[in-house]
Amino acid sequence: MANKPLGELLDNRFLRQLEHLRLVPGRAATRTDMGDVASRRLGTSVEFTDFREYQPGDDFRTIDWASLARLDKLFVRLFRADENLQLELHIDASISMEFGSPTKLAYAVQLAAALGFIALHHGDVVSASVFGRQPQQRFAPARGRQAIVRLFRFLTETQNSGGTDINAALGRLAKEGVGSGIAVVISDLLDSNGYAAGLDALLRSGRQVALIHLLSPAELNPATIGDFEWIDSETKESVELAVNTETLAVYRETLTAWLTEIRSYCHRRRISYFQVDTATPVDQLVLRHLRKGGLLA
Amino acid sequence: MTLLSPWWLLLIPLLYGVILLHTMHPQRHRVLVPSTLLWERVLRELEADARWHRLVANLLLLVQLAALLALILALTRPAFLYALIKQRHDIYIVDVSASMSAVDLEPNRLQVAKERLLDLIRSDRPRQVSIVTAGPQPELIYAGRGSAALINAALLRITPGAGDIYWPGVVARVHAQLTEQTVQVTFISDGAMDSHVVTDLVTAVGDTPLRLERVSGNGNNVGIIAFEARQRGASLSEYEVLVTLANYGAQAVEVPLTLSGRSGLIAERIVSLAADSVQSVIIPYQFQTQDVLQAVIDSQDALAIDNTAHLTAYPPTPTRVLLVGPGNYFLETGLSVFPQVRLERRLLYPEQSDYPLVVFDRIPIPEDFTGTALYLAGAPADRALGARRTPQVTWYDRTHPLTRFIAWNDLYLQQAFNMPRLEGARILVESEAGPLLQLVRNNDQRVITLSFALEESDWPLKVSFPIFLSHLLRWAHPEGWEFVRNPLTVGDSLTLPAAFAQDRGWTVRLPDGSLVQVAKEDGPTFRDTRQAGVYTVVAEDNEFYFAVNAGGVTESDIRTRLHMPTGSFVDGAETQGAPATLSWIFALLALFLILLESWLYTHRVRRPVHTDMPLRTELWNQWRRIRAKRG
Repeated sequence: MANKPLGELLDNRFLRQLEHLRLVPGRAATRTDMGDVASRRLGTSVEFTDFREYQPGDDFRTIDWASLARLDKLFVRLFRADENLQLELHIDASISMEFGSPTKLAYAVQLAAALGFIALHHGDVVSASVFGRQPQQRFAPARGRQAIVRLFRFLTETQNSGGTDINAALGRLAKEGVGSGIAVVISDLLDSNGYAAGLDALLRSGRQVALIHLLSPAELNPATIGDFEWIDSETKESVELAVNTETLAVYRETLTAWLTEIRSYCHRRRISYFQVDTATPVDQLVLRHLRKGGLLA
Repeated sequence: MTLLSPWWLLLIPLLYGVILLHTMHPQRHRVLVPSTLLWERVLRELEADARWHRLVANLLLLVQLAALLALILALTRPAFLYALIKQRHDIYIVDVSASMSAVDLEPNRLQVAKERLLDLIRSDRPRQVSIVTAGPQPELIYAGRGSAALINAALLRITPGAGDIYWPGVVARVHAQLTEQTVQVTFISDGAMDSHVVTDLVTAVGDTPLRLERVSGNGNNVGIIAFEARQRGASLSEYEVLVTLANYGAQAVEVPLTLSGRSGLIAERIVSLAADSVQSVIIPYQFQTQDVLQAVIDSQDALAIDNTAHLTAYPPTPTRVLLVGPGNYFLETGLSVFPQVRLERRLLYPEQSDYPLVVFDRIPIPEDFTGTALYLAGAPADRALGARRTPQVTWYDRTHPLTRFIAWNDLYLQQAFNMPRLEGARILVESEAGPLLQLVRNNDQRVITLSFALEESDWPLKVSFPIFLSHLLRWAHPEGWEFVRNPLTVGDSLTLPAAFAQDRGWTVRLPDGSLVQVAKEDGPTFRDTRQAGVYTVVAEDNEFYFAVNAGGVTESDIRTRLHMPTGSFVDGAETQGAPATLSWIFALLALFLILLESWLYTHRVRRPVHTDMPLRTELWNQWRRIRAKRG
């Protein structure tokens, strides 16, 4: 993705469509400052939500004086807090992401740009990281539309980071930052050590996690038959296999089981999971699938 | 089970080749992929099914081995079931030619051949057996159910002949025995013959396989291969006797040769013969009267029958020539040159004449004519055919005894009659007008027809004319020109002289002293010449001799010239649809197994090579351990 012109990352028509979208926060939304997003937390906005009895320490300004006069009891008025949303974009940039046409990494960068644009356009805080075995490149939390260009520039300069260790990288990222907000992980999850520990670490830190799982068409539906020695692009280990129609059937069964396993894991952890074929256009993914999946509105 | 082509079993080592192919590492395409995570899982999934996989892989190997084995068996042409189903009939041909009496095998080749024949019948176990002897006079000596006692009795009657094989007779007898149930024809021989005879046999047996069984020894033999005499000088009685000896052994020998006649010893020679050589000895001799010459060599060789040869001689008798017609100046002048000719002239042909040569000069030949005749065209019927003026000779036979040594194309013919080609005629001289000279042979007559009148040509003025008359007289009546009668070879037939016929026929004394009667109703042809030696036609007051010799270029050379491995089949017969019913069964089985192998490979064998060959894996692991130690 290095040196890709910013204009090519997302076209103007798509950007205009993105302006109408918003991130939908789940139970966790980072409050860094007063923001534009209505939080589930009770706060200080003008939107009244409830009463409760006064407790020592409550802000006197919230005491409902009318209730005191009528009931002779102290009640405080509760308002929905207006909070800024913290969006973390974690992009897997391992070598395996460099496969496909377009490459999964390019696809991930475009997707991250779209999500980042949405967040920044609405004044949310956006940070980004590119990881391989460890977090390699970071985009420091930024807010405001003026950060869009910087974010895009960061994304266009994304380089692959060698091998993958999703658990280690996400574990380290979980310890960093404010510990809440929406963490969007974009990866192919092709890591023999798995992914669950890393995602669990993000969840434990209080983040709402969305997992966007990219797979190329060749990975989803391989059709090549013959005697092959498959060489892993990251570990350089090889697997010798005579591929015939029956082997391909077993592959498809294995792939389905793997995807089911990931989906089931995400469901249990309440992680928003999107399995994406990189043949799907990014705008279609964002405008249709992510909205349908509840990540965007 | 009989394998008709057992040498295909030499392909069995190919089975190991199939096993070797299974142990070899296949050529795989190296492909870089994002991750082998899923492929490893696929591999584990497949390995979970490894027992079935290994079984299928081994099954694949077994199917391949079975297919190859079935293919090899199909090529060996197993014929066991065929023999059972078809009520097997085998024909055995036993060579009884002179060479089979050679004693280079104990007790002789023929006896060994008989024993080999019995062994073959025991191993082949045919339901029906036919045994044909191949000698100068072939015979069917046995045809039946293969009873051992009867076959032994038949074989006891076989004795070695004294001459070469009469192949037309053999072929005819074998052909008569062939049936649909005939599985094979076996020829047991010493192979002392030219290979073309096999072609004749192959033609005779058709689609039936022809098997050769050879019995042969060292083949060392010295023999008399020719015993002849030729005139020397102008005198009819002065001759050169020619004895040709051949040494077919590997070492040079010196052989004493003795030539004797009725009057006693004529000459003795010591003949030195190099290895594998032929040498002729010429001995001058003047015949006085009827005589029988005998040439004998003293040689301790394998074949004794060709160590003796005979030659008979009679004083020439005058040649009586009858000229039927008004007279022919040129012909009469030409014949008068020859002192042996007694010319008579008549206007009409007398009935029952015994002239050796009759010339019909412009007179048609009677239909009942028997004998030898020269017909000079010019009868009214010939003139009615028309004539061509100054025809040119276009072709003539340069080899025939009547026309050789004559330049026929030098003739000037004023005209020649447009004679058609007579039925069954052999054209000797041909011109633009048609045949000038043609010969017709029937059972009892030989007629030479000349299509032009002598006086209408310049032929009588040329040297070639008396030469032609000389040829004609010698051809028509050789007894008037030669002392010596060419000896026959064993198996030849002879026309017995009419002068020696008695009331019922002829009586012939064979060389072993036994007498044979030839009835007049059967004709004057004598065929029972199985023995070598001097035959005597006995009359009341006279005797006539003729000699039959055994030796010859083909029979005296008792070395194997038919280079076929014993027990082998002749290619020509083998490829003509041999009775290999089982071959088709095995071929179909092989085809089925190949299809099964293909299906197994495509549908069942997921990893046909990689982990399922214990031998290969073990070797691979060993190599890796060695490499690790060195590294």
